[in-house]
Amino acid sequence: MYQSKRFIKANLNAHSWLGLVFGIVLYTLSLTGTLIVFSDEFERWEQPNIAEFEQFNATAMQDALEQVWQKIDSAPETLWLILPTKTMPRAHISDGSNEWYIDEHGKLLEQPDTPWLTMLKDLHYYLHLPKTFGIIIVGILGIFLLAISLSGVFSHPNIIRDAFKLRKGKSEHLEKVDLHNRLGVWGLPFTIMIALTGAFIGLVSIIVVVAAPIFYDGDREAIINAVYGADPSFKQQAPGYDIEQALQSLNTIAPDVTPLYIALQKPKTENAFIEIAASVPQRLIYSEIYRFNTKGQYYNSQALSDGPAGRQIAYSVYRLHFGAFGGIPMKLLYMLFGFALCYVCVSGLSIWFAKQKHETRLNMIWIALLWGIPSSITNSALLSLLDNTLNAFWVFWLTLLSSVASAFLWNKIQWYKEVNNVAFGSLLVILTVCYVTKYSTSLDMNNVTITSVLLLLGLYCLSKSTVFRKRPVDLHKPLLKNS
Amino acid sequence: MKNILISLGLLLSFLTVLSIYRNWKNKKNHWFRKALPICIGFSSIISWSFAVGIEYGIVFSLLPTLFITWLFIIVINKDFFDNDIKTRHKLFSPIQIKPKTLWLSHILKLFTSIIMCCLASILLSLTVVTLPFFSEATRLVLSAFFFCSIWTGFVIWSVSDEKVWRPFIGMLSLSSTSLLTLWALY
Repeated sequence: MYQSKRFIKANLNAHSWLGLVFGIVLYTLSLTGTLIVFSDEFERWEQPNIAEFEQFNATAMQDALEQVWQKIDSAPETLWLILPTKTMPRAHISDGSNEWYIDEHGKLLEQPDTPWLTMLKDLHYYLHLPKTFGIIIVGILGIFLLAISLSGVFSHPNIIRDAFKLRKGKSEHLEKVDLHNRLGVWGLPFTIMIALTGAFIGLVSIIVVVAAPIFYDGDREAIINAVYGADPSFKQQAPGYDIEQALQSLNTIAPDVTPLYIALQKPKTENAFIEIAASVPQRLIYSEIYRFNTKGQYYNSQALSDGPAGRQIAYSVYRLHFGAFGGIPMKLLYMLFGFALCYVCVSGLSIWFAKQKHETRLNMIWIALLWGIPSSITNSALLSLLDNTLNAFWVFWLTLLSSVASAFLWNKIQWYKEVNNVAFGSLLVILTVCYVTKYSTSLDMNNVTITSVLLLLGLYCLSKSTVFRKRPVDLHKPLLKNS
Repeated sequence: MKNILISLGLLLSFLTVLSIYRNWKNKKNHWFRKALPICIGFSSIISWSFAVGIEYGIVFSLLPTLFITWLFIIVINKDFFDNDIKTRHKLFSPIQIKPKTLWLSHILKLFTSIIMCCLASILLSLTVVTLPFFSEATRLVLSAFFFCSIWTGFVIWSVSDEKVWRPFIGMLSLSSTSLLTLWALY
């Protein structure tokens, strides 16, 4: 594959420049995204004392609805009944502003209280910025991730010659470059898939804003209706909801689908209707939405599974981006590729630092961020566990800030790496100990698995530290001198 | 039957990696050998598709193949992971501040790659998808994907070009041409 030297150099410059400017934010997004793949599992882990079941009957739903009507003052636009599934065996009911878990008999339980997971999701979706602005910024970062990946490929003249090579011993720099390249190149299809779907999710609102005045006389809702399908119009509907009949009708028209949630649209009005969203087997679309009148008679579907190709593609993006298909094996694969992407981001910046003649304060800040982000996420989980009234958002940012501030206190990089390593490992171990102490009676398979993985990771970090080795490196030896 | 097809899919994924490796190792291959990884890869997709449907099948055959490749690279380069990396320490020095002109060029690069590229790519993508054979929904969704892809291309151009003003002018002219086309059409 011939590429001119000038082309390679230009792309290498672009790759370095983009990596330097956006590397740390992309690392944050990759790390949080990798964790969010297991958001269902983390939700169950963070709030373990909730009844779990996979079967739910319509009578219990009606009971839950009655209790919600008594609790809310005015009828909401939509009332959601989220049904238990294999991956998330919990049911909850929400009017958009309030939400309650429900047990299998339809009794309202406590409200969802997962401040740490909410913080983590907000960090990935919006970078903790205002939501409309934040999601666009994250979408733009998807574009830059794509640009970095592709410029990396273009700047690699020996991409085929080195496809299976990991050269050892020539230099530490070369070893890092090889690992960075192998993980980056062979992980490229995954990176492109994640970046493109992420950019689509983040930037689709821009397309709506620009395309509306050009194609639809400024009517933004018309665009959304054209892509996702419009709401049906029901008139003079009978009061009440026959959910049982709706579920039976669904079973007749689509026996293979699995209901995910029931949405009661425009409740307590004469335009009310029932929507049941159900996952379709062997399809990547998030769900098909079936509409019924209040008596539970089938009206139509939103044609998300058999409508125009564009609609099907748009509705498949979510599952593809978050790995929400194929069960735990696919989640594990997404996790592996996600961590590989984190490594590629981190090693890219490390390679740049290794090329520099001197070490500067930037190296220290880089280490502070590299270790500070996972440590802040862990600290946020720990403090949320100890006191769930604490704001997980502030805990995350204050921990990260103090981590960066600590980079200005020392000049010994090796020592500083050790401190960060030990801090992260210790936080994980403390978190698991506190978790087991607090929730010793609610340790099911899911919670035990997550806690064990966190504990093992913490112990691994501690074991990697020279502090806990037999012949520790003299950390007090002045490795670096101030010039 | 499903389990047999899944096992076959995984086996074919492994064979795909093996055949790619063989091709890579023996530079002078017959055309049949060169085409073999593609054929086996497709067979893997077909096998997966019969087991779990075409949409899942493509992803299910792709990701395990990539993962097996990583494992394969690790296995054939075992000594790489011997834990005897020696870190070379360097002198610590204050941060060097770059000249103002360099900063300005970086800021212009950033501006071009975010604002100008966004503008040019959105207008270009909307112009491209005005072709009549797409349905309404497909046209809008395609425009969103084109928007992201074209923007990516423009970002690479704007950052890699030695002359910062060139992509800037390029984007400006593309945006105005697309805008005029859209104005003429609608």
